[in-house]
Amino acid sequence: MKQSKLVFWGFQTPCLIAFSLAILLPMAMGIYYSFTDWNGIGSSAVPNGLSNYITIFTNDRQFAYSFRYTLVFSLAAVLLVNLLALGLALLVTQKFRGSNAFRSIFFLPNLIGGILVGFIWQFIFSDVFDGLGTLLKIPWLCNWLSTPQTATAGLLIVVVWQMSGYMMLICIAQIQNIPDSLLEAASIDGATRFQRFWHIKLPMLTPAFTVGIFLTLANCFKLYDQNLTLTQGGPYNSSEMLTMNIYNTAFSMNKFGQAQAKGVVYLVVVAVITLTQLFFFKRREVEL
Amino acid sequence: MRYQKQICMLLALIFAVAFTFGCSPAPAADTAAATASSGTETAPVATAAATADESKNSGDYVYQDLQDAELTFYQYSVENAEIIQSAIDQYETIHPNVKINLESVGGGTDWRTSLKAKISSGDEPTLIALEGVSDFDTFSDMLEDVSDQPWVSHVYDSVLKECTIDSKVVALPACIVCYGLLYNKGIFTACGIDGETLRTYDAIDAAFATVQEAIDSGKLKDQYPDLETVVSLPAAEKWVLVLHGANAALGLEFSNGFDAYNAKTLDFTTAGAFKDYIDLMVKYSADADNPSALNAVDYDSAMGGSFCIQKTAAIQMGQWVQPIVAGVDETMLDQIGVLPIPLKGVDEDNVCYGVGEYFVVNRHSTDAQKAAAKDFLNWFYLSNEGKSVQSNDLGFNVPMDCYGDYPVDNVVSQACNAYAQSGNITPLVFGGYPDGWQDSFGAGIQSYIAGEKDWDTVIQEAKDSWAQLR
Repeated sequence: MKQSKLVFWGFQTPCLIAFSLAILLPMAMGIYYSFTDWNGIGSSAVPNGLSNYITIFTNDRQFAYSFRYTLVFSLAAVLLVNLLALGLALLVTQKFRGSNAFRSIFFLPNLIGGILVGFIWQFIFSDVFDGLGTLLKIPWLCNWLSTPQTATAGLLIVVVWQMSGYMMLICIAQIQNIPDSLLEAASIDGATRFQRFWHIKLPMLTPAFTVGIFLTLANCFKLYDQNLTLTQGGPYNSSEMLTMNIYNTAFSMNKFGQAQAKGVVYLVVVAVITLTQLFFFKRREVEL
Repeated sequence: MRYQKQICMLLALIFAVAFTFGCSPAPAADTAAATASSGTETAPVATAAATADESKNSGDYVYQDLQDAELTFYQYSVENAEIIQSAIDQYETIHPNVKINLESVGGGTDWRTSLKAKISSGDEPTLIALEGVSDFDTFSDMLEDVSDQPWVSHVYDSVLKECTIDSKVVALPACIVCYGLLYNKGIFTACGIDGETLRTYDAIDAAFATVQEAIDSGKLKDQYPDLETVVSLPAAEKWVLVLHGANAALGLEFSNGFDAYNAKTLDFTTAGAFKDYIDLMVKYSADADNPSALNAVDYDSAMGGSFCIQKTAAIQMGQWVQPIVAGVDETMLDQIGVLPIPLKGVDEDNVCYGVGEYFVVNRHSTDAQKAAAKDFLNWFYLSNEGKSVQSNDLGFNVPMDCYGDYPVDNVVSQACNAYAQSGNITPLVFGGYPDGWQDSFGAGIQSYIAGEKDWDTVIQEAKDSWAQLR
C-alpha cells in the first residue's frame, strides 16, 4: 500500500509541478491582473476593482463585435470542417488505388504552420484570384481581402482547408474500428448503402465527432496566426477575432488589465461551451 | 509482483530526476554565464592595451577600451537592416570583444507591440530605436541618462529639446524623417508638367488629372508601358493613413510631439482639409471606381509593386524608401521629386519634417552592455566611418553640426531640405498620438474609403477614442 502510494506520487509530482508552473500560476496571475490597471510594462499595478470588467462590457464596441464574430465564425468552421472531414474520410476509406496518397495529400495542409498558411493564401486571394478575375472578367473573384464578407469567407476557407485533414484522420481511425461483421450482417439483412451509413457507420463514428468537434472548437477559438497573416483583422477591424482583440488591447493600447479581463471572460465562455459539448456528445457515444 | 513494484518505483525515480534536471536548464545556464562574465571582467584589460589607442580615433570619435559585452540592438527600419549590420561589423573590428546582435522588426509588423512582448518575456534589448515622446513615456522605466555623452554638444538645440526629459538627455536623435508626395519626374515631364511649380491643392489636382488623361489616351504607352494610374495608396497600412497622413493635418494643430502627447482631447480643426487630401488620393488611385479594394493594398504592392516599377506616378512616402527604389531600379532615384501634402485652405505647400527616430540605452542592462552601447552610438554618429554610413549608405539626415563634410545622399531628404530652408515644414507630432489610436482611427479612415461610414462619424469616433485612450 505504502509503496503504491509512492509510485503514484512519483509519477504525478513532475506533471503537477509542470502544470502548476505553466498553467495554474499564470492563470492566477492573470486573474489578479484583470483587477488592476497595469499597463504591461511599468512596475505599478494598482487594483481597481471591477472597473476593467465594467469597461469591456459597457464601453468597448470592438470587443463585443469580436466576441460575436468569433462565435459565429467558430460555429461555421466547426460545421464545415467536420462535414468535410467526414466526407473525405468516407472517400479515402473506399478501396481504390492511391487512397493512401490521397490521405497524405488531404493531411498535408495541417503540417504547415499557421503563419505560412496565412501568407500563402494571402498571395492566392490577392494575386491569383485577382489575376484570374481580371483575366476572365469575373468581378467577384477580385479583391477578396478588401470587403468584410469575402475576407471572412477567405479566413473560413483557409481554416477549413487546414483543419479538415486532421479531423479526417480521426474519422478514418474510427471507421477502421467498425467491425466488418456488423456491416456484413447488415448487408445480408438487405440494408442499402445509405442505411448502412446512417444506422451503423454514423452512430459508431460519434466518438470521432466528440473529439473532432472539441478540437475544432478549441482551435477556432484560439485562432490567431492565420487571422494575423491573412487579414490582420482588416478591412477596418471587421475580421478581428477575439484573440487578436485581446492581444491588441494588451500590447498596442497598453491596457494589460483590461486585456486580462477579456481573457478571463473568454476562458469562462470557452470552458462552458466546450465542456457542454463534451458532455452531450459523450452521452451519445455507442459502446460495443 | 514485488519485483514489478520495485521496477515501477525505479522508473518513477528516473522520471522524477530526469524531469527536475530537464526542467531547469535556465539556472544552470545562468550560473555558467555568470562565471563566464565574472571571469572576463578581470581578464580583458590584460589582453587589450591598457591605455586608449589613439590610432583608433576617427573624426569626432575618441576610442576607449571596453569590457567584453554582448548586447541586442532592436530597431524597426527593416529596409536598413543590412547597412546597419555592416556598420556593426565594422565597429566590431575596432572592438572585437563587443558583440552586437541586430534585431530588426518592422515593415508590415507592428514593431512596438513586438518590443513590448519581448520585454514582458524578460528578454530586454540594450540599444533600442524608439519613435517619439509617447514611447519615452511607455518605456520610461528603461531610459538611461546619456547627458554626458560627447555627441550631445553636436546636436542642434531645437532638436535636443525633444530628447530631454527633466533636463536629462535620454535619447540620441537618430535622423530626420521627412515625407511628402513622391512623384516620378519623368512621367510628369512627359505630360508637360513641371513638378517644382505644383504648390497648391488645385495645382496638384489639375496635374494629376492631366497625367491620368495622358494615361487613358494611351499617349504614354510607348515610354511607360506599365503605367496604369497616377497614385498608389496603400490603404491597408494604417501607418500610412494615420501615422503619416493624419500627421500632415495634426502637425498644424500641435506644435510638436509633446503638445500632442499632453492633449487630453482632440479638436481636429483640420479634419475637412484632411478629408480632401484622402479624397484626392482615392480619386487618382487604381481603384477609384471600387475604393474598398484599396484597403487590401499594402506597402509592398504599392511601393515595390507599383511606384518603383513605374506602374504609378505618385505615392505618399519619405526618405526611407531610397534603398527600396535603388533595389528595384537604381536609375529611378534621379526621377524622384517631392510634392507637398496639400491641405486645402489650411497649408498647401508643406512637407512633414522632424526627428523620426531616437536611439535609447536600456537602464536595466549590465554596466558593460551599457558602456558598449553608448560607445557604439558615439562611433556610429561621430567617427568618419560612422558619418559616412549615416549620410551615404543610410541616407540619414542627422541633426548634428559635425556633418559638413558628409552631406546626405538621399534624393527625398535633399528635396525636403529645400522645403525646410524655406520654412515650409510641418513638424512630426505622431509620436504624441495615444497608444492604439492609430489602429482605431486607421480602421475609421478605411471604412470611410470603403464607403461604410461618412467622414463626420469617422472624425467623431477618432476624437472619442483619442479622449478615451488618453
